[in-house]
Amino acid sequence: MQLKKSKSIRRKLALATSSLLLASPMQNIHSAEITDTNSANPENDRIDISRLYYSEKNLVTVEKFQGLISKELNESNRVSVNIVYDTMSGASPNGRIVNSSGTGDSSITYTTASGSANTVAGNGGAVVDTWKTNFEDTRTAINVDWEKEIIPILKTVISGGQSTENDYTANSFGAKALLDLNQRRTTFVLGTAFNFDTVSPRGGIPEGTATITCDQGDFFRPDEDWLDCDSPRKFFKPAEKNTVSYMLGLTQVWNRRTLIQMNFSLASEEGYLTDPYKQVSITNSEFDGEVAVIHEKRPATRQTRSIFYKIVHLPTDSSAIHASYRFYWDDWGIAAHTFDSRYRITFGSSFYVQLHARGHWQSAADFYRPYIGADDKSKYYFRFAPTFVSADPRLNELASVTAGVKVGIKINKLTDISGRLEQMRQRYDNRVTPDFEALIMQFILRIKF
Amino acid sequence: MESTLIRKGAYWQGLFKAMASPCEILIDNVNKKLATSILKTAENETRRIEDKFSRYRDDNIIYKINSANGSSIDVDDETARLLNYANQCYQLSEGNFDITSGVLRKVWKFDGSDNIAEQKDIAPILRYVGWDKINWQYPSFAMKPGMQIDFGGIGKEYAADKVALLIAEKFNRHVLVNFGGDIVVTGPRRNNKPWEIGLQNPDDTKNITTKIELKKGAIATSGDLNRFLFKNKQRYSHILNPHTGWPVEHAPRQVTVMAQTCIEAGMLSTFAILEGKDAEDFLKAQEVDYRIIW
Repeated sequence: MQLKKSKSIRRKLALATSSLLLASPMQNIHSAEITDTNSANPENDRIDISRLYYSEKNLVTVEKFQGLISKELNESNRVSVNIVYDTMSGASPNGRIVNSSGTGDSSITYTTASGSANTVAGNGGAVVDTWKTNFEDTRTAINVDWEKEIIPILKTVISGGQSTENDYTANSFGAKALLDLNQRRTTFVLGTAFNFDTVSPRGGIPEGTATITCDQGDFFRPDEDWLDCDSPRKFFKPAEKNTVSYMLGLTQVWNRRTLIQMNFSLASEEGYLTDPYKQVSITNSEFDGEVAVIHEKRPATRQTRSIFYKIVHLPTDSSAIHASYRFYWDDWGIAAHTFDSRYRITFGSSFYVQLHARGHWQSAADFYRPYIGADDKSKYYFRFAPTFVSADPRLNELASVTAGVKVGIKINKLTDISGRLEQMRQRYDNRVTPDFEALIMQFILRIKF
Repeated sequence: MESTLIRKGAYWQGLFKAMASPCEILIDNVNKKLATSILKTAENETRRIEDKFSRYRDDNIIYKINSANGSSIDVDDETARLLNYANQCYQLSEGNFDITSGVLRKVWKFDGSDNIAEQKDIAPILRYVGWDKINWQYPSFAMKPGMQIDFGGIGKEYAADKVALLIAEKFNRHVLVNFGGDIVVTGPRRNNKPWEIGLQNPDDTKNITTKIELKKGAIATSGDLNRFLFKNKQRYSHILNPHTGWPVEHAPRQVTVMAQTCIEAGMLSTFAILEGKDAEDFLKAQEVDYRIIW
């Protein structure tokens, strides 16, 4: 009996059998690797607890605690409840600029309520004064999803949620349908969502582009005719912001080791879209600094669109690559490209390491100005009151890069734990806004039951 | 053809007859509508395979191939995959497994009697046996006139695997498929519990001597418990050696193997019997769970 030859039969037989039966490893991928729900696969009952720590250098710190419970009610209904509790503190740029120390450069500033200033280096190494708006805010949010299987190939998900902070309330409702075709190799998803938000800032909603302060001295009197330095500002009662959005998506199993996904989304916002705390500085003709400050004002509508492509590929049975590209554009003039990639390696059956890299580029909004220039030689000068203007750096042209690593460990059959550490760096297109760095840490505990 | 659906406590038992065997599908904890749907799908797929590969019909691809009289026949992808598989099994078993050996049926009738065939009857038939005599190049299959192919040796296990996979894909459920003792499950029961399977001892059918817990995999049995010939105190297994035309000598009466799919389990148990007295050594070398009854 040739034992050596007998041994090889089993493996070869197994290979021959999988060609015959065309069993696909993509079945596992579909459920385990894809975290966005473009697939109608059953999940386990589970509890997830997560703690996230986000810290910008010298700016904002966010700590977020999240708990999710997902339970099957019967074989065609599942409910998930997600609770989030955030605390945000620190300082945030409010759009104003301030004098630099004699170099003629301007830099973005941050005001402190107490009026004290800290010094940090601005772009190009110039030392500038920074003013920070200190704040502390907490947010609680709850979201409920109800998944229902109508027929084996059609599933619907209905969701609702509410998020509350002391100056902002968001209510959301959504519905999504997922259809599997082609023996589950193709999934179509169609979704719609509605958001009804109420903005209620401290002190009331300010009048857009109204003057906050005005230097009345002879030396630095502003030139703009349209500036009204005398009338008191008006404030209004809380305002609404409503959004309707639609999404159409397709996930396709390309071959035994590859899956592709495409989505198209559009959204329409209307109502109060301005940030009530953001302001815009008006400078004098010497560009020495700020001589007046007005509130920002954004349009009352916004149409956004995005297309998204993603590919998931398993080069070996214990590694996976996710790569995606999103192109976003809206009618405020912003266009953005986002590239995201993840590479996961699994060791044995209980440990994985995942590397993450992301790049994001966006153009500025049409009405973005770092400040309003003092005379008609400045490209930021306005002869008449601007209809819309904002100096919020998040509407500026910017580029950011994020890199990180995540590690996951399976403690036992029912429990997983994972931790991730990432760093993000962002740079803006002008000399006004300094570069920005943030560190993100997150821990997730998942218990299946 | 009628199928029946019986509620058994926490699961459904679906029954129908196909491939000359009792076919059973066990469905865990679903509503009746879904159980009916699953059973219907299982039955349709089983009959589809049976009709397509049965050698008793005159309207399928097997008939076309077996009556081609030397001409070449173009086959579809599923048939092609089965022919490829038959070819690989022929190679792996060094010619012991051969789907052209069915013509030997003309001289061997395993009815428990003592009608042993004689060499002078066997020899002329051997001219028409041998996978090495066929011509298979996708998509065309051709063989010498007088030769026949028969998927009987893998049809039942193939159907069991295909039905289990189809139900898993279409309904996202794992069921237990049991075609005449060839069993496959694609995954555990609800709440990750295993399926419990009892193996009967053929000499003592009242008691279950072996209990197996299966979450994913298959069990298949080969043997001649009911089909054999007996003469001069010698038992002749119904599994024929295609090289000689004679039954395999000193073969175990029954071999049960556990593997990932029903086809693999069935093939390994068949290969084991073909090894005759070396059956146990062969199975040990494959590192699979097995049971042999001599």
